[in-house]
Amino acid sequence: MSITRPASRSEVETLTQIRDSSLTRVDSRLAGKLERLGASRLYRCYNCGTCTAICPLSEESAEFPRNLIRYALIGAEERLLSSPGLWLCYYCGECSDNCPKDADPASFVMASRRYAIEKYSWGKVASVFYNSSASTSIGLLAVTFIAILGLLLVMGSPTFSPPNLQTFVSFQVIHDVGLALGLIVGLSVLANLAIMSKYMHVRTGERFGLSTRLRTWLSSLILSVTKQSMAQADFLKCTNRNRYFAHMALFWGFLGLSIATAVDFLLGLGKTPLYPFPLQRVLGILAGVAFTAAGGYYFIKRLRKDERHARSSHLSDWIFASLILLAGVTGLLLTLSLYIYSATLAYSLYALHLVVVFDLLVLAPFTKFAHAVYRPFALWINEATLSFSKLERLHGDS
Amino acid sequence: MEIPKMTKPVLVIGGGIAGIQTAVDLAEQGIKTYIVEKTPSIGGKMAQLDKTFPTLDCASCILTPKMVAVAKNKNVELLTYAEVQSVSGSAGDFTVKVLKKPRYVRIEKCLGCGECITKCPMPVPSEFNLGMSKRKAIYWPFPQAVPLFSTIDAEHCLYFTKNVCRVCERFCPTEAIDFKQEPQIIELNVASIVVATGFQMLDPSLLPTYGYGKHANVRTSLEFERLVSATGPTAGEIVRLSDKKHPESIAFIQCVCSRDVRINPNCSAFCCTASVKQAILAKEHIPNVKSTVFYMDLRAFGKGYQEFYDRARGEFGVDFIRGRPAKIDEVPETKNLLITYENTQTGRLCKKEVEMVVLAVGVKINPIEQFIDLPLEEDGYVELASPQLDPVSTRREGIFVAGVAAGAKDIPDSVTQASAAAMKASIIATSE
Repeated sequence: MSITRPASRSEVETLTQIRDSSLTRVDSRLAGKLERLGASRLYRCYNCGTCTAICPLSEESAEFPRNLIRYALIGAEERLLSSPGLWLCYYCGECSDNCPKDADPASFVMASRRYAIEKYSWGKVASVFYNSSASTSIGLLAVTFIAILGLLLVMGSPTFSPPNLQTFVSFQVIHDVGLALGLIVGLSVLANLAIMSKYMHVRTGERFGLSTRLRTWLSSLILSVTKQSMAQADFLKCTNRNRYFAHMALFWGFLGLSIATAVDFLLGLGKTPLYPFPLQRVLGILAGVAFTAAGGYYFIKRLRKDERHARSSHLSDWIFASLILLAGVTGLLLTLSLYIYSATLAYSLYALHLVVVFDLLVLAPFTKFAHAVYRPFALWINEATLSFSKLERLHGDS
Repeated sequence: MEIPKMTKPVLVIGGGIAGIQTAVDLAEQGIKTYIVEKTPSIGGKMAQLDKTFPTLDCASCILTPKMVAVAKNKNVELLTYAEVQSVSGSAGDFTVKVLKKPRYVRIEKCLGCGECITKCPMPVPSEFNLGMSKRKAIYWPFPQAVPLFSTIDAEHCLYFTKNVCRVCERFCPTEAIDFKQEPQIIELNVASIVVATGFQMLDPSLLPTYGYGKHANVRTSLEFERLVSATGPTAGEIVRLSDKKHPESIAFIQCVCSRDVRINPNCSAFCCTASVKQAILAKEHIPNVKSTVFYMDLRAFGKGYQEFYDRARGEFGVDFIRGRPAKIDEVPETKNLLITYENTQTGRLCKKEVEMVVLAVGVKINPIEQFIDLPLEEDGYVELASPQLDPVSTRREGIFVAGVAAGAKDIPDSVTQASAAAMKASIIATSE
């Protein structure tokens, strides 16, 4: 053997590239991050597949939860964050109850979802609410401070008999701030969805014509919105009915409150009279009761830890549950105080209500509330993917 | 070499393969050895097996001669149908109280002719065949029992329960039946003790998702062993309990009640290769059967085990699927079984219908704490002085352990440990 010539720089680089591309790198940092977000027993998993097979939802695609745990353990972050399985799960806990290693796959899915909320948020803003309890508290306090400051700036001199919210803060201001807030939150959500879809590599149905693709995307949207968002049919496959009704109450309560607000706005700001109970006020009160009751249910479950899904609560879960409960309770009591003409009570509740709702909405794209957007989006994409693969099977490989 | 002037006896608790091997090795050195066995016969779990891996030797064919040899050895005293009650003293000088249960048969007169058994009118589920066949109230646990004396099971005997019958007494040609026998306490003084108390199978109904006890055609590995054995309840026919037909497909499921933190976190060591063996035996008995083994990790660790597994795959066409089934449902019309699992090598969620399921059930040691004060490990096995360098010594000097009492293991490892324990026990027995 003799050396004929030294290897050129490009030859060495080619070799390096081949090595880098053909090796799977295990990155243990991802699992560490997920551990801190609540997947505390992730490392116990020995990959038996019981969780996937027992899951009432993994029927057509067996993408979760075992596969997701594998992704997490080898550090395949992109794969983890691209899986719709993260958002399909309703946390029935069957996987954790049946896990022979007590690796708690359900908590792992929740932790991954927290991680996804972090990663999907623009500028990684959501990290503030998932990094540490200190940063979470600072973030929450900062937003609350802005709300209080804003309130002080726009506050008028209220009349006391009878109480008139209009005199406390003019409805015009509420309206303008509300619209601006809606715009900011909406844009944030859109930006986040764009990041999410980049992770998810939404590229299905290329081989079909434009009309087929449009039709499939639209029908999947209609199907996922009606079946999964409005009826939450898959949630029913998960065992606990009380939880299903609570979640439905929360969803429809929130929707009802939004509709009542919109109607009130369209009829002319704050023109909805107290008597005789007009439809939009009745709707608002009913929706508010449903919303508050559901918020209370979740809060109490988390306190009592008597069901699998409520046993381990991350700080972000507490914040979400507390804000919902607070918003609901202050809203209902505010309405009550208007009917009993208690001005002091009405104004203080109104102030509190405004601050809480401000927190809830501003934080929505960066906290647990974001699942209200991510889940339907993932379900839509999942539905479309299934439809396209069905189409592909129909058309064969011709 | 100086020949030891005086030796003291050794006690072996348990007459399974580990206890038998220990006693044989001690007796061969001229040491007086007692075997205390709680059932009427020595032989233990191995006697219930059909074939042994990895050579497919017939279990009785290699075990029975050993059982006979140990019984015939003049240095061995068998105390069958007896239980140790207490152990006191220390190394070199243990006092052991043994309760000898009454057989209601004078063993010095019993010829082992079996006339009493033939005539006994009272059928009782057979422990040896795991309740799948009947024995009589006066019985041998199995035809190759050693010693081959009849035993009356007072719990079921018509004389003891209803004060009638006495048919056995009437027909015994040697007047060996003695309904007046009383339990006896025997006191032994021994130099050292070998605990070879063995194990019991865990109850798979602890895992309700697999439907054992609910679905007729879900059996345990030991039940399958009896079914496939020529001395078993079906004379070696593998049949479904629901319709007595030969199954055309059998699934063997590994790690049932083992490697499961909710029930028993330990690996039972022998199940993987035992199931490979059973899948092969199924093929030998029913040539067109489809055998499938569901496993998480196939731990074929011993000498020749990997090759045995390769044979099952190649020569016998046994299928191996990596995935722990989540549930087993019964198909009501056919009593077939629907297994839900994820094939973790393809990532696909699958369902498989089979005609019979065999659960490779984990083990736990037989309880010993009520008669001997020995530290146990967290996992329930007897604590070893040093798992690496002294794997047969317990935490109590002069008391040794062999077989599954020291940790789940297969027959070759049990026998190896038994010989090692015999050596350790003999050192104390022969020292001044």
